[in-house]
Amino acid sequence: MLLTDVPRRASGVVGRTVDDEAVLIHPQQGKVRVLNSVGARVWELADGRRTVAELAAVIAGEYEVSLAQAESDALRFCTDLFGRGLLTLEL
Amino acid sequence: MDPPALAEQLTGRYGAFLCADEREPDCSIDLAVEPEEGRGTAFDAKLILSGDRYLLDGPRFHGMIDPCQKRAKLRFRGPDPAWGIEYFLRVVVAIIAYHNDGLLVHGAALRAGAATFLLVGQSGSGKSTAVALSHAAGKAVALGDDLVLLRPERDGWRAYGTPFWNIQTVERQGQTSDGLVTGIYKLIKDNQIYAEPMGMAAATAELFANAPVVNDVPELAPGLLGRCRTIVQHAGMQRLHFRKDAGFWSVLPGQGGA
Repeated sequence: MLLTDVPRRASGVVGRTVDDEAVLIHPQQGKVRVLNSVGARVWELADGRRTVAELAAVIAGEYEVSLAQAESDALRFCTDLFGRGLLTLEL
Repeated sequence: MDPPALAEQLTGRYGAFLCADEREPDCSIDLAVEPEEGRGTAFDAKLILSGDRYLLDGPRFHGMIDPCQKRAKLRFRGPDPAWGIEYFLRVVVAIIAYHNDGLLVHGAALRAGAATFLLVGQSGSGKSTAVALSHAAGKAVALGDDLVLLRPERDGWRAYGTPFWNIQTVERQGQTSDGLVTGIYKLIKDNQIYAEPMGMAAATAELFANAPVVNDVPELAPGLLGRCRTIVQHAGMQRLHFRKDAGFWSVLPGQGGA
């Protein structure tokens, strides 16, 4: 995955925010995943319109983290969710 | 197994759960069983939702569950009809419970005085061990050691015993009784005993993972997630680290713990 990629929440995945965190269910796989508050925010921002870089910029603005760190973390996190089938990429 | 012997076995196992004649049952089940020679209890049945009905289909099973009509049917062909029926009943109870605002949970329920503790965890987590230890120490009455039914009421969620147990060594004196859930605990085997809080999201996910049958139906996932969230909001959930003795009771509220 690249910073210029545009992630989107995978269709069919059920997500619910609970106390700033998020629970994601992939019904077809029977998998459950819990995201912390930053992860939940990334999930929320992955709407198929923002690039990973744009998404990281939002995170850097909202949390006390540098842009470089936010980009690195967002890239790793989105790649992980993509690998689990929780995110897709807009082409 | 001949039909009278099977009927006797089923009556012995489930007779205590039949509702009184004057009450409408939550579900009526038509069973047709063809016993076969041989051994084996492995089933490979797939559950799908088709319209308002659930279909359970496999080499040994042809089942249908219609929660709206409160009816179910099973055609079973195999070497162990009693276990086939038990398997189907677990599926039926999970679905009927969900459609009646409740939830069947992979968990053990222990009632001590006015408190009822729900211990959740999948196979191997220690549910049956906790029940056996508590029983041996005279700490509590077990409502179940594997599957427990939760139903909402005004003051919270009530746990009901079921006939679906793992261990055979504990007398099932509490299987038809119930208790208002005081707390929910995720069991963790450890060499120390302590309880630690769980975040709401993790607790919701844990309960979702321990809602058998219905968590395997994709169409139910959004509603089930909401149901699990509601339950943990009411009852909370903590991780209960325990070792193989009844000492974990010391950290449960009202039993020596906070």
